[in-house]
Formats: sequence, C-alpha cells, structure tokens
Amino acid sequence: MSVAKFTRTVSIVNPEGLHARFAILIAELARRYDACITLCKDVERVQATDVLQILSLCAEQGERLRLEATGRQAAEALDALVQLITNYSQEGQNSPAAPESE
Amino acid sequence: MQELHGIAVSPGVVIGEALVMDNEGFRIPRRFVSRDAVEDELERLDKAIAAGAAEIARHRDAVSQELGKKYGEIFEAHLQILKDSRLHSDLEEMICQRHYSPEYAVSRTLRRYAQVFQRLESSYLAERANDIFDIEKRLLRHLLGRRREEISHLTSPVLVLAHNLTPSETANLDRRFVQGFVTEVGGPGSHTAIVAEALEIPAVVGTGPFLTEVSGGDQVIIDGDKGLVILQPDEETIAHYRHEVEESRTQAARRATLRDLPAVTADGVRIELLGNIEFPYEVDHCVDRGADGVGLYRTEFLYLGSETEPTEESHYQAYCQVAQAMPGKPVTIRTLDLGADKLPHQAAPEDERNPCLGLRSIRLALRNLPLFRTQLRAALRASAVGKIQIMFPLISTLMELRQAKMVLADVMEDLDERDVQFNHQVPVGIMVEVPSAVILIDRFLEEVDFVSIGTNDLIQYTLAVDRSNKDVVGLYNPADPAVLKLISMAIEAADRKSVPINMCGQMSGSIIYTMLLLGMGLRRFSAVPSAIPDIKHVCRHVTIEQCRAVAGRAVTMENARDIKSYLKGELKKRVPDVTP
Repeated sequence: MSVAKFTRTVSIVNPEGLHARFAILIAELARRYDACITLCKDVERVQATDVLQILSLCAEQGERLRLEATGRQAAEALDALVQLITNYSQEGQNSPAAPESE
Repeated sequence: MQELHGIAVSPGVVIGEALVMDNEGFRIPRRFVSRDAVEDELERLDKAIAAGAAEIARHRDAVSQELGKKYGEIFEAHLQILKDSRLHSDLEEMICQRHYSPEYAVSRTLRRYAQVFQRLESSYLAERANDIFDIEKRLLRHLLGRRREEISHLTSPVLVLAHNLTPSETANLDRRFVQGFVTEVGGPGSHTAIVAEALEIPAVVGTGPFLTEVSGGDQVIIDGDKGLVILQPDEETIAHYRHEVEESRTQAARRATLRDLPAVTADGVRIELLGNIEFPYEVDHCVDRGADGVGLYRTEFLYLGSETEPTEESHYQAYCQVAQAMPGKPVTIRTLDLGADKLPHQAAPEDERNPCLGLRSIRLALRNLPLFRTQLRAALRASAVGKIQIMFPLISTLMELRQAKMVLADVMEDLDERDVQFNHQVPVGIMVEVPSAVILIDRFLEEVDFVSIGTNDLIQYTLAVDRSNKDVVGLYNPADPAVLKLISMAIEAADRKSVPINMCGQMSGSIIYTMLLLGMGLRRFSAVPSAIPDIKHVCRHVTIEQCRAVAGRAVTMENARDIKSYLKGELKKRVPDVTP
C-alpha cells in the first residue's frame, strides 16, 4: 500500500467553467477510487467527492486546479480525473474511464 | 458591517433583532436553541435533509422522464449538493458548538455559499446561487413543516426585513413586537410606509436586494430619519445609535409638553389639528398628541386584513372604538378607497391596465352597492355614539357625489324603518383629490358639508406622475406651482362659501408647508398623529401676517425646487428649533 502523495495540475478548458454537471462527474469519478483526493485552487482545498465544495471553488475557464491524492489508487485516480477535466467540453462529455478492477 | 441606503418613510431609530421574510412570506427563523435540545435538533436536521433528498430524487425522476435527462440533471445537482459532506459537518458544527437552530444554521450556511456564487462574474456560475436558495427553501420547508411561522405569531421584539410586505401580512402582524420595517422594494406611498407610520415605528423601503445577506436573529439598525439600514453593526456604530435613541426619547418628551397647549398662531388665530389614522388603535396616538379629532380615518384595513368581506358589525366595532376615544370631537370616516385589484374578495377586473385611472375608490363602491351599503350602515350607526362625519373619496364628477349621497339617503331610510338610532344630520363631505373637483369646486361646495384636500392623489393626477415609479418620482412634488394653484383655489372657494376645508394628505403633515398653507387660508390640518406636535409648534411661532407674505411670494415662483427651498428658509427663520 502506497502512502506517497501524488500531485497533478490541470486547466479548466470549457467556457462555462467548473459548473454543476461537471462537478458531479468529478465527484462521481473520485468516489470510485480507493484514494483521498483533494482539489486545490490557490489556497482553497476541497474534497473531490463534495459537489458543493467543488462548485464553491468557482473555477472558471483558463484557471488551474491542483489535484492531490493519497491512497492505494491515488495515481490511477489522478490520471482519470486529469483526463476527465482536460477532455470535458460543453458539447459532449467523455464518459469517465472506469477504474481498474480490484 | 454593511450599510444599505433606501427611502426613509417613517422616522425614528431602532436597534434590534432581525426577522427575515423571503418573497413567499416565509420567515427565516431565530438563531439559538437551548443546550439540552441539541440532540433533538440534529435529528430534526437529518430528517429534513433525508426528506428533502427524497423529494428532489422524485422530482429528478419525474422531470427526466417528462422532459429528458438534461432537465433532470439540475435536480441531480441539488441532490449532490445536499449530500456534500462538508455541508453536513458545517451544519452539525453550528448546531452542536454554537447552539444555532437547524433553520438558522441551514439558512446561514447556504446563504454563505450563495454569496460566493453571486460574486462571480461568470453568469453561468453566478446562477448557481438560485439553486442554493432553492435548496435552502426546501430544507426550511421540511424543518418548519406546519410550524411555518408568520409575523402574526411573535414572542419577542423584532425588526421585520422583507422583500415586500402585503397588506394581509401587515394587517395581521403582532404590533406589540414589531419595532421597525425594511423592504427591498416600495416607495413613499407603499403599504409598508403607511403601516409603519401608523405604528409610529421607523421604516426604510426601496433598499434593493439584501435579504440574502442577513439571517433571522442578526442585529440590525434601522435609521428611519436618514433612510439607512445597518447590518451587523460594529460596536462604535451601536454606541452612536444608542445615543440617538436616547436623544429622540428626550425630544419626544419635550414635544409631549405641547400636548395641552392650544394650537393658536402667535397672533391668536385658532388652528384645528386632526389626526390621520388607518387602524382603530391609532386613535390613542391622536389623543396623546391632543388632536382636535380624526380628520381622516382610512377604512381599508377592514377589507385587507381578513379573508372574508368585513361584516357590518366589524365596521361598527372599529368605528365605535375610534368615536368613543374622541368624545365630542369629529371623526371623519372615509369610505372604501381601494382599487379593484386590491380587493381580496372580488374577481380581478378585466380591463385594468391603468389601476390609478381605473375602477377604484368611490367608483368601485358605487358598483358594489351591498359592500358600500354595509359600510355606510355601520358608519351611520356609529354616528349615534360619537361625532361621525362621512367622506367620499376620489369624487371626480357631481353625478358621482349625488349617487353616493343617494345611496346614503337610502341606507338612512332603511335604518329609520328598523328604528335604528343615528344622527340624521351626519355631515357628508368629499375628498378633493382629482383636479376636476378643484376646477368645479364651487358647484361641489353647494352640495357638501365639508371638503378635505387629498394632496397625495391631487399631485399624482395634476402632474400625471406615479410616485412609486422611481424614474418619474422626481416630478412628484407638493411644491409644484400647479399644485399650489389648485390648493389655493380650493381654499379660497371654500372660504367664500364658508364650507369647512381640511387638508389630509402628506403635505399637511410636513412642516415645510405649514406657513404656506396658513398663508393661503387653511385653518384645519389633518396629519399623521406623530406630526401634530411639530405643526402645533410652528403655528404657535408664526403670525398669519407673516404666513400670508410667505404664501404670496411662493406662488410667484417658477418651480418646485425654488419654492421648497424658499419655504425651508422661511421656516428656519421663524422657527429655528425644528427640523423638517
């Protein structure tokens, strides 16, 4: 079991910013992994599984988020989240990648 | 600390605890619960969240099925927000550690999030604030259930903060505990303004949106003199206002000494000062100020305050209460003066695109004879108890006056047949508030026992301006030369025919105009009771000669602004120790 902390940085690309539907997808995806994931914008830090908290980051297009994760599936979780956030656009969302089966 | 600027509609200063009402008349509740109730309160919160979540899930499924998945997603977002673990821990912390009530905790916490969104520039995210308010309301509904409190059930003093107050809300409020009003909308003639004046409590209206920034139980200061509202005041501000509150008590005490002094000018001319009232209990305010009677008893509260049409008995009880408190002094009952759109028991009129010019007041009464006759019967019966006078509002043609008088004669006949006691010589008069009534004043004077100038409507109809419309309210000015000319015409004509003339609009309560009106020949002023001491004070310090000179000069001036500042200057010169 890994105790290492993984960190990735990603930009919000879609014009509407990090809106409700988007936040739900992030939270749903984050919940599928055995990892503790934190989203950070500037000094604010929130749990990636809490939709209201993600929304209250008020991340708009062009802003950068730092993702931190610890736990057994920390690395995979970050890969999936970065992919989701990078690929998300308002027309079609890619369905989030399923976590590797345990 | 946050300052809001609005329109000052009722003077005075008050510091107190906020009672916040939302657009639906929903009360945002008090702050604290007792320590030993914490467990129960947490359970209540959990139940409300569970019930709210179940309700949202049902909505989501129904909407998704009917309109498609995309529309259901908004409810999915609500559901997810409601499941937010940080939200739960915040709420629990407020209840356990700070002993906040779940309602207050919900309101406070969610509004804090909403504010975060409201500050955003991105319109898309900013709209999330509405979702948060929606969730707040849903939780409050589940928390309060049937206990949804209204302002009719109060147990401690509060300042009522609301988007707008409806007549039925204010009519039923518990006036022992309401110490001030603030509304986001409204102008000087709004219902809130009238009620606040009646209650003699400070009020500020038209502040613009702010309700999302306060919660029930917050400390608030209302400065009804300056039109200021201060949310979460700091220590220094509170100290300053405590001092003001003291000061105004001292002033009130000083004015109280005027009570038993006669209202006579410095050169010995007796002036009658009467009170305007809306609610029967206000007659006490008149007595306290040593009023010479009630010059305007508005009766609309009888129609607005209840779900059903008022009975003859409820009219009669109210009128008797006022008449008995004013033994030997006139009480002028103005008959129904509402728009058809305001009458709660009637179908809404069809073509009412312009209610000010539509089916209202005496026109409405003449079209609803049973309603009108009920009121007249009660007023006549009360004339056996006290010195009642009957006044018809918004008379614009002679035919209307004659019709109204015919209905009155008819009601009198009925009462005679039933051997009911009343004063057969009850004085009958009209409000002079439509320019046509001034233009034909000589003919009207032939057919009435008295007249009373209603300046609020007279100004509105003369200058064609709606004073609740902020874009044109600047045109609404009692000092407008055209308005002054009409007033002067009415007073002169009444004098010539020796018909008593009174003025009962807001203008007569404003001491800026006291000298002018005295100079024009007015000898009867009817005003909100709290204004009586100041008017009396002015009367006692001026001579009719001085007033005539002021009036003579004012009517030669070109515009309202010049006239008003001239009048202010003259007042300052003759009576330096009053502030208009």
